Amino acid sequence: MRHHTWRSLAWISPSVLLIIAVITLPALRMVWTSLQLTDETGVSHGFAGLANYERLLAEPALVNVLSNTVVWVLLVVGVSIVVALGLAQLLNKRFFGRRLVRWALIVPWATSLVMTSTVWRYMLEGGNGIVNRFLMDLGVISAPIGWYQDPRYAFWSVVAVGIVVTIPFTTYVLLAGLQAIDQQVYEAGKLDGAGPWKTYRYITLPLLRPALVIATILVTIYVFNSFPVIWVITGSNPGNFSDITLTWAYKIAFQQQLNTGEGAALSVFNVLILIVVVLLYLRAVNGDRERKSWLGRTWTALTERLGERWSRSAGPAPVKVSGRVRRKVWPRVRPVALPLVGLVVAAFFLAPYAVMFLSSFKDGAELYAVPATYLPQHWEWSNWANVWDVLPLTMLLRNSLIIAAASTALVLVIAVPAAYYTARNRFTGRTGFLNLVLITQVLAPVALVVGIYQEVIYVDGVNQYWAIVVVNAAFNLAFVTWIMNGQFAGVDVAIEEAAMMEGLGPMRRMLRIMLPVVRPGLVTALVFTFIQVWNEFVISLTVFNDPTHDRVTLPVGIQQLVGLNQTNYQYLFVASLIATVPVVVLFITIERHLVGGLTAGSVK
Amino acid sequence: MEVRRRAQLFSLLSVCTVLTATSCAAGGPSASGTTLDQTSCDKITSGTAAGASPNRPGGGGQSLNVQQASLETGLPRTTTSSKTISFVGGAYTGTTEAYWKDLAGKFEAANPGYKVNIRIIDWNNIDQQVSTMIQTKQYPDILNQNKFSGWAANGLLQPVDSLVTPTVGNDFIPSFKKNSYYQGSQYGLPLIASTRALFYNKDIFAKVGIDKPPATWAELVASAKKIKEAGYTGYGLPLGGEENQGEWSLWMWSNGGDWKSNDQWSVNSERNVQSLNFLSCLANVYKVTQANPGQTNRTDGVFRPFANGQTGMIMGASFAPSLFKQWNSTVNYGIAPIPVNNGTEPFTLGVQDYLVSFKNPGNTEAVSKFLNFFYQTDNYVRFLTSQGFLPTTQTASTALKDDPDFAPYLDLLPIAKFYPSTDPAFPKAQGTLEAQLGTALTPGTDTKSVLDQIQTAATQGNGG
Repeated sequence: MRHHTWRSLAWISPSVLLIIAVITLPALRMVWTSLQLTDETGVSHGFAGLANYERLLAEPALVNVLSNTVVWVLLVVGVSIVVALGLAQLLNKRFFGRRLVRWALIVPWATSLVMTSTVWRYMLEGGNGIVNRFLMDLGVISAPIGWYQDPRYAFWSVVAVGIVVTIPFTTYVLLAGLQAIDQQVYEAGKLDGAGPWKTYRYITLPLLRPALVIATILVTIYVFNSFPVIWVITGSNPGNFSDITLTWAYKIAFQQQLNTGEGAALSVFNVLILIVVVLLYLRAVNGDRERKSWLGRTWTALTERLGERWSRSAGPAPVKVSGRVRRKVWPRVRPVALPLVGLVVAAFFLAPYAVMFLSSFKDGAELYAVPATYLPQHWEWSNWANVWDVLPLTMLLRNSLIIAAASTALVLVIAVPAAYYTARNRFTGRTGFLNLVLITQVLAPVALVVGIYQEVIYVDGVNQYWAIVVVNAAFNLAFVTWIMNGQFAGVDVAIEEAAMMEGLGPMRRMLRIMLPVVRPGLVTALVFTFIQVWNEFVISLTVFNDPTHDRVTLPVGIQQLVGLNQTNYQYLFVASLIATVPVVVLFITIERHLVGGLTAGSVK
Repeated sequence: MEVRRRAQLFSLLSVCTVLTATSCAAGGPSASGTTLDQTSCDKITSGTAAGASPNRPGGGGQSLNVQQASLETGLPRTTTSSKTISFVGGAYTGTTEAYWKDLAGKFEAANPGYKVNIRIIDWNNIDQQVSTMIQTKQYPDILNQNKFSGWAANGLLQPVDSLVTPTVGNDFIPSFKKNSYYQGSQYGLPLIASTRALFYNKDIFAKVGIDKPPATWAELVASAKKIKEAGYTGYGLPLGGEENQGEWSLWMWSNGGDWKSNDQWSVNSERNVQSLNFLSCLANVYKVTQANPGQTNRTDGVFRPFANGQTGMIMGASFAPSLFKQWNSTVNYGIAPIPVNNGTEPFTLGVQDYLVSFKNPGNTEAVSKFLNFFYQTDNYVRFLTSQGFLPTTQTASTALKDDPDFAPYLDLLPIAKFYPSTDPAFPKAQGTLEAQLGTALTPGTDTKSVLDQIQTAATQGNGG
């Protein structure tokens, strides 16, 4: 089905226009800023050539920040994926309480990163930190450690938090992949006498690869741009012990060097690296289908070696034992062991939110008690009532609801046809379009905010609902297009052919035949967008912030509790929980669809 | 150039022969791993190092040319005037936004047809937000910030003395008003003030047998050691990014150093290196501070433990008592002057924030009306009491002089010293200091190189 370019334009031009307007133009503005001489107050003084880049390269902290960034991405992505592989395996087995464990994993995913990071910072405090209390009660440490303060631990603390907050999303993507594997394949494997390792190595892993590829790309981008984790936890620490390029760009632009030109230069640099990494990765993975690429070869070599070592060290005798254990002991232990492991996993991932919940009942003094208390000594129920006086919560909830719902609707209307068309047709510029979409995903809003603000002013959209809705839609376009493209491509063309015979046009085929088939994917895209918009902070702060006319979103409103001299943690936690509950409930109601939906076919 | 550098090196060398390792190890170009030990630390407070003081404070002060800007700068413009203005401010507390919205409502009721759009931003994000507005030329009509000179230097601000009535303009406490000028014109209206003093825990002092608060660095070390032995934090030292420019200024000034000397930046002066070494001594040699002072923020890391009775001494602030009250703290504490070294005169740090007005065509009349409305004594006092800050006007000082939360600090205002915030280079120096000073307390760090970075930031613009 090859069509003329003009025809494809009708399907994809809304997406392209949205991307150009909201992302490409501000990105060009960022490049332009990086070539300007901007003084400490933000006033521009003309063209600077490459001076900002030269300054950046001369920064003494550059090497340290770059190595931090590499370690951060490799470690967080790597460990999250390894742990998520195990967790997905566990959640794919049937056991008592499995649903509960799955729900527990949803909470960290659905909660805004700013709020999760805030509670982690609170937990990692030195004297009054609950992590220290817990470790001291266990006898692991004898004196409190300043986890995020001590330069020796600060970076590793944020890496650990980064891993914990990245695992749930990764697990869900891999779980979706696991569930897509046909059970009959395993039966066949069993008949051939494959042990658990061999089954995993030669059946599960190869079949899981498409999901693994998607997970790796999405998680890499997510981790590269997860500004809040580092910013909230160690952002006010002197020095660059735990900075990555993104937090450092912010410091250069607005805190230390006060040089927006140099900050923009670093952002440009950042985006270029990310684009190169993602495109190289995609190419390596895609090329692997026809000819073995370096990545494919490394992958095979690595697993081969692991497999060898496994069988060598295990030897024949232990295999026999483990075989007996598997046949005799395991069936009896399993009904207890799996729920127990599940319980531990659920408790681990819910713990920060339990701390948030319990702390929301503490009074100001107890929040800083040394050592920290597990349960509130005096339950301050009034915190939950007072927060409605401290913050105009009803207004904030209403605004966030309107904006999240409208943005989600808009992005689906624009992205779904484009995803359908690109999945079903080969046309000039198709690859270009898909790459454009992918690249928009790697641009962090925080780097583009000046350009976006300028444009919103130009179209007279400051503090207008439609403007923030359009901007949010643009930033979620990539994810929706990608997921839906995979979904449509995964559906057999034969389904459509009958409808085509009856003379249904492509638009009707998409609406009547295809959409019902890909409903799980649609639900996933819908929920994911909703949550992203619900939690979005930087853009709303800049283009939609007018308390006089009751136009403020929830995350921006909650941030008001961070005062000049103190943070009202109890109210912050109450408000965060109130903001999180609707999202978690929404997530849980569609959880079953979600797992199916993330099986986004493969990378086409 | 070469000659000058050699001369500097010479003077440095001769200083080194006089002094012990304390300041010259850090000052020497080849010294990297500075090690402070008991002897070198004790030397700082013993007065023997005082001889090498190149820059005594005192006379320096504000060399600013204060003059009453003439009224004709504020002549009404011919452009059409706008009755709607925007106000952008920082969230001092959780109630700041509520105050301004309420005030705007009252203003609009009293002045039909006028409108004030309020936008309050938390302090973590305000610099980024304001910078974005400036870059996109969306100047707020009124802005509440802690600096102004950079915008004034770029010609973005309108002089404010003509915007407020003489009653309001002449009501400001002279020292605050003086600190609101840039090149002869007043661009900032003093909004709030705070001062600092030594807070000490009376119960801990009684328990370990210290009868009076320390007046010198040597006494402070002695007291802190005793307190530490009793199991408390001797001195709570916050050099984390939140407010370390305040803590640093206090130590710098109390040792006789300063940000600038003879109108030139002198952040990395020998005296200042010595002050920073002393802080390193407190943390790493005497070990009388809390853990990780280089990464500790003031409010959560020092005020809270003090309010909970875990700390002997801190540099407190005039707004701290209202925080202690909110936290239901029962700490029994006294207030004393800042301990000094090298025989420095008593002083306090005065911090003030400003209201400034950007030049937007036709905004003068509405801005003027709103500012005069805000500085009406009852409106202004309500702002101060709700946010917990000291007044910058004489009328409000009189109104608050019987308030026990304000009285002790109002008396300190006459000896207040200020940041050199009227210098356009100060924000960058401050930003670098906030971001780097704490790293100097990691044992073995070359303290001078940290101060060098701040000096460089102050003396080099973005143009390079």
